[in-house]
Amino acid sequence: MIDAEKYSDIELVEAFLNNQNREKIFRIIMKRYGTRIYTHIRTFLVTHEEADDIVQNTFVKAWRALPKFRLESSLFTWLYKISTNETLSFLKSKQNKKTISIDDDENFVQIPSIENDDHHTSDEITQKLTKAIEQLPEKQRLVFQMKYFEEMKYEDMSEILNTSVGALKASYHFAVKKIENYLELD
Amino acid sequence: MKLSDLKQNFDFNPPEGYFDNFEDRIFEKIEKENKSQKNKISKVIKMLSTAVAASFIALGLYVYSSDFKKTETKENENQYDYTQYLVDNCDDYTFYEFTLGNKEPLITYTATDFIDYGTYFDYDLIIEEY
Repeated sequence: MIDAEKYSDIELVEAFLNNQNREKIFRIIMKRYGTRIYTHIRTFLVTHEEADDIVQNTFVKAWRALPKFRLESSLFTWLYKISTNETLSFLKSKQNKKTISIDDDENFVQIPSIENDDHHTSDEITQKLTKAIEQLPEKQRLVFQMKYFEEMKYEDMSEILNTSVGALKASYHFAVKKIENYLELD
Repeated sequence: MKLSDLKQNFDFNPPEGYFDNFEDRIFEKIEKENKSQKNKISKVIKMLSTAVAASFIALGLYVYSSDFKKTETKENENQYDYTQYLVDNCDDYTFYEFTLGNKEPLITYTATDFIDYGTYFDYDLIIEEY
């Protein structure tokens, strides 16, 4: 049995690329990042079933793409990038199925409401926060959710979203201001 | 109340036991997808081989028919050459006989199979009629 904790991400990827026990190595990677990837995806989706589908697709895609991974970014940001793209594609296709309008901006993704979900508490303030988040523009909402709920570093977000750290900080700042105003918080 | 205090009300964690057999499920899914991919590839190969076979048959038919046309054209060319030869070289009597003395088209006479050599001896009778 391979001791998962003993190996760094780089060592795991290098061993994978050298064809050493690929399946075992990938199992370690899934164990290491599964929960974080699930949480990341779950913040955008309404139900666990949807999140489960996207998590599975993310790891299947990662398995297929890992032989071409060139260690230009960290394994963690690479996995997050795949999961973010998968989530946004899913939301886009879901939205397209719901309404097809020629007036829609094709890059706009309607991130669904989480207020009616069983997994979330439904007290008044939480619902209000949920509504406030929904009113943010798409990019601001992405940044806010990744920073606020996942406490992700700006540097990692920058790699995942292909946006400068400065722009991300500004986005988060504006998002927080809007939400605080909406909730009438100090 | 501060904004940072509110996030504890949200729970984005997976249900209990979700990751118990997670890796096995992923590899099962990969295996399933690989199989369906193989099936798709073999279907495509079947379709391609059928298409290639059909193309070969079509090509064979085309080559055969174009050869046939070439032979036909060659025969026509020979026939034309012969007609031209007659037009250029026949004398007045022969020309008269071919054009006025008979109602059949000139081409009939140019084909060697249809030349009735007997008509060359009857030209006096034909002249008398006119």
